[in-house]
Amino acid sequence: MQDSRQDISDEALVAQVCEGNSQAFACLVDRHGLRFRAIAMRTCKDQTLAEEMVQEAFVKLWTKPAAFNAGKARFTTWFHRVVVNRCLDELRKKKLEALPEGYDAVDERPGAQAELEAEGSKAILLSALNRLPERQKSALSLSYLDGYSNMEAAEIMELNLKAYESLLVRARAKMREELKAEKTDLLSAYA
Amino acid sequence: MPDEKDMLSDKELDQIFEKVRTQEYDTQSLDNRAFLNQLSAIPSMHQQQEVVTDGLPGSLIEKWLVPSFLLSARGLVSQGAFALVLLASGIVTGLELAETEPDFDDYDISASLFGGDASDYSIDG
Repeated sequence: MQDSRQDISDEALVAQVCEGNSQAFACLVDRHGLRFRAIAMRTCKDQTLAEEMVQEAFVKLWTKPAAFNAGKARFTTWFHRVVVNRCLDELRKKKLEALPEGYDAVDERPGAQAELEAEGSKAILLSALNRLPERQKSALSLSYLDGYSNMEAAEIMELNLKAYESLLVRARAKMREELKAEKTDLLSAYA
Repeated sequence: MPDEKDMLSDKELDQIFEKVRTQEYDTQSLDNRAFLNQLSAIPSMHQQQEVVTDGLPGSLIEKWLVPSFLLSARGLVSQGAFALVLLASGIVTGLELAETEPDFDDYDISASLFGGDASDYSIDG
């Protein structure tokens, strides 16, 4: 059923959601659910909270789909802002002081050690990313982790394409410099 | 200037990002699949709100009065078209009225100003 929707644009799917079409909604979830969870995770730095925020954003998309104005922006650009703003609001509200519940719990599942190592390498990458100036960090995240095209990412950052690409070049150079000390670890984990 | 050979190459950096992204977006992973299923269940748990509009004219006015629409290419064309229609209807109305010349003898423009009997104002009382 959803296969026939693969060629439909996100904006057309939202129009179908406005008419109460739950299959169109499921298609949007399949296309973007994980992307927006990853974005929320990088903003909240807490998986449970990130999932809550994305869930809320999708609930709003279902209950009030008319809030999206296709004439103003692409769906992904608009929804990116909805999710990130929701995360930032929540962070402001909670002023997260303590580590998330269960942070110190030992994970004894099979394969947990390998997962932990992979998570460690990912943490190195994300920590280097966090040391970058805010705009460089956003550009790298949007293009290389969130899977946006340069044009979409430029729209999200409210830059023209040329300015965005030049920001991206600077961000990559800075990132390579930041990861210099961890080169061997990262290559053994990912290459 | 940092030594290039100590740093990750562009290709290596791309590979690392790609692998992190693949892990995060793997729809076959149980955690990820469970999360997507949870999101897909939203329509069965939440009711859609009715779209409230004040009828066609209300919703059109609401759409037109947005500054971004008024200044957009479509907005400017709509305004131009509206002005042309207004001008054309003015010309047509004017031409129609011009064909029926009024009879000025029928008018007494002071009638309403000086109602009452002329004898009220007689100098002889």
